[in-house]
Amino acid sequence: MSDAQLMQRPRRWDAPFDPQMSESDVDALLARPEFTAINLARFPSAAPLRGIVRNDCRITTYAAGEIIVREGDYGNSAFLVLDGAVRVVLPPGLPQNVLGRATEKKRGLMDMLSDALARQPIAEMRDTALYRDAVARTNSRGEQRASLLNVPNPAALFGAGVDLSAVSGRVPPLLPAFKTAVLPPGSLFGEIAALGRVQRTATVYAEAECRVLEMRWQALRDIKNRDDLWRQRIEQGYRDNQLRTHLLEHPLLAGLDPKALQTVAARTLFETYGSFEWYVEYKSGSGEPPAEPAVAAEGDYPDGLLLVIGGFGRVSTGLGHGARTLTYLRNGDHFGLDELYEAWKGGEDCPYETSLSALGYLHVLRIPFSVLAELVFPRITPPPSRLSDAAARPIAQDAFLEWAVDKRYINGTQAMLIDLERCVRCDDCVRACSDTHGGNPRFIRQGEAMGKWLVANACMHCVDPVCMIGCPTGAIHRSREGGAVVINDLTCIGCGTCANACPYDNIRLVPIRERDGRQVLDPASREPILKATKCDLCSTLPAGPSCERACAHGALRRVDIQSLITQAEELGR
Amino acid sequence: MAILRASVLRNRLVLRIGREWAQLALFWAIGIAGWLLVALAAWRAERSLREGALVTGYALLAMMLALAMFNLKKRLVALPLSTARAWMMAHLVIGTLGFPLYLQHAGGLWPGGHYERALALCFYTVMLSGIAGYVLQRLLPRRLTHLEGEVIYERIPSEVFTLRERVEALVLKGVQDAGADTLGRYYLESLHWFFRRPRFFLSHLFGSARGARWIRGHVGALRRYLNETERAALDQIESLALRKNQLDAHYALQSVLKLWLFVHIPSAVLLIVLAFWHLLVVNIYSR
Repeated sequence: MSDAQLMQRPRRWDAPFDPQMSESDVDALLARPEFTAINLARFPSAAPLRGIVRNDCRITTYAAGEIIVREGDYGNSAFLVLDGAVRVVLPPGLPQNVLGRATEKKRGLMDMLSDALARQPIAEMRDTALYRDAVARTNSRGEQRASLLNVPNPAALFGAGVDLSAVSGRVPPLLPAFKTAVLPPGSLFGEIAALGRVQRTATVYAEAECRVLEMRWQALRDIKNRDDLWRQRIEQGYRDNQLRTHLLEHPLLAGLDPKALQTVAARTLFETYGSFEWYVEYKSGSGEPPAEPAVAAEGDYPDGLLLVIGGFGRVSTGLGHGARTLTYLRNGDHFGLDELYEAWKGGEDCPYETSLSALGYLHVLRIPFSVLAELVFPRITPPPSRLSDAAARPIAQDAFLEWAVDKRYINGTQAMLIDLERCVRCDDCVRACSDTHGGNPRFIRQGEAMGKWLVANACMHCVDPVCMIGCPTGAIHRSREGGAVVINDLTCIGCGTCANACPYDNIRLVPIRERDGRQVLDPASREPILKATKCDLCSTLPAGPSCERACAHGALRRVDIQSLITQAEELGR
Repeated sequence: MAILRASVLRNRLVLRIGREWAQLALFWAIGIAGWLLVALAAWRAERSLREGALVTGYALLAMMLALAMFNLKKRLVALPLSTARAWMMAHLVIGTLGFPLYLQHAGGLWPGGHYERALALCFYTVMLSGIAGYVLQRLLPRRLTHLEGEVIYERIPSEVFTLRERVEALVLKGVQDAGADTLGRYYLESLHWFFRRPRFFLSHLFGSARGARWIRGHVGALRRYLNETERAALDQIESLALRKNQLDAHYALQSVLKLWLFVHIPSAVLLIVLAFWHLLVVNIYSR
């Protein structure tokens, strides 16, 4: 113990978003109309508005052409335009190849060889000097930004004959094929992606030099929760900016002319069922299945089409004295189309053939029947299959589906699925993980089993990553490339919020050691300094997850859990 | 829609399985082509009055090194050297083709000369342990899957220890509650032996239910001497004993899944060392 390395226990705001943010900057921001109306008394003394702006926000200046957010990226920040000219590219957006996406740094061949040859004798060793430098490094302004002025094929964006070298101050207009809109000072964007933990739906770029306030999602969450105007503004922003995108992306509504789409958007209702904090009840371990709020009941008459935009829903039908799960719905799915279409075609009301309930929480858009009858149904062909058709399959085939839904494994996009009839229990997967993560595996080859399938205790990189809720520093985040949920070790303070939130117990807190093997301790309490660790899908390796590649028997796979259900169908044959 | 999505994924699954078979077929095609080339080269060498065995010998050594590389690959998992699954397929193909090549090289099943016989013995040990390992790996995982629960091999001793502690606590409580030492005596005479370490290794290995029968037989014989309180304790003890029996089965099957490698890998290392010495001697004396 006496030989231990001492280190102050990390706290929120140890690493401000921007250490260069001055008090006068904060004063100027708080004097803006967006902040003056906020009631400061509603903020707790531990996290006052001034502290939030001072530590969880930063002012960034973008040069003309620089991309602020890109469609498809994951991001944990929202942006408030302070001044200058900012434009958003409306759907269908820019081609991916002109966006100049930054790539995550992958380990080179020599790095990998040296790691393999010089294995760490002690697990979880860290260079604590890096933590001391973390503040400076995480806020580095030396980051490279993609710019529309540096795309490989500018003619594809601006047309032939535009000389970008002569551009000064303002980006030339894009080709008419790319629809754009101005975001004036005071506009908030990126808030849905930051709060909803979803991909950004549009690209935003600086048309001329501009300043934007980048807000960590924790800041946005705290302000939204304590100020009604901001909450209404975010909801209105969703209706104005995102709703049309959501609607347009849906296959049923694709191709609607702008006027019709405007009508649909204006009459669409937002509805949320269940609790955003579903995992608290799920983790409580009471033994009782968590409550599933009903959204639509079999036998009721539908009044609108439900489009799922977040969360999960269980589609079920009555069977005997219970309910039989037919499928589950997630972002992009819809409910009620069969009945509504039949009612429109036949001219008589048609009741729901199945029920829909929220698994945890469910965000839906409700498009009224009258809108569908007027604008949508005349343009579409009858649905090729009905949701209720699934009831025709043998009941035995439902076991996997029921299990996956009850266990909420449907949340997983990269679940570690092990075929126990192929697995020879050699633990090569565990060793491979350990070898690529400094001597400590990031998963346990144990978990819930159903038949021959085992879902191991490895991060599933969930559709709804509840582990990201509440992280005080934003250390746990979606990687910009691929969307894997990863932890930034430099900014993790080991508070355990993510580990406690994970419904599947797939995040672990580990005590760290200095490079020379000494334990790292908090000087005050003499308790070990902890860091959260979890599967990162080997995001720094060019070949992907080493666990999967190390399995010589093809028993271990990283799968979207939907394929588990598909395989269950295969088994049922 | 979810149902349509499932059908797309099903198609992907079929494609994936098809890809694995295609990969295996490709390895076989390459392997057989390589073996035919070596056989042809050896035949042409013989026709030219040179030593055809040199060609097959070098080819055999190259194959052995290629097979040994599989173990090295496992240690270099971060490097993008294809998947272990592909390496395993290649390992099986090369290992299988090694046998006809060996027959061609040695001129029969059992060579003359002490050193050559030692080499042959090593070769057969590696080959047969490999075949045994392959068969065991195909059979035993299914048996393990049908057992209750999944347990990590290294944790079996601690799980057995925990069960033993629970049983001993139940026995003590049963003796105290009933005021008779029947349960305690029974534990010391029979169950203590059972809970001390994994038992019925061979029975579990060959799929016999002897362990469960032993438990039920002993428990049934004792039951007539117990009162209601003791019987309740005995029921719990029986349930823990059956759990221990499952752990024993895990232990037996998983041990065998690991033990065959303790024959395969050392004999493979010895074979490569002996083969190198053989090569050296042949080169020295062939001049």
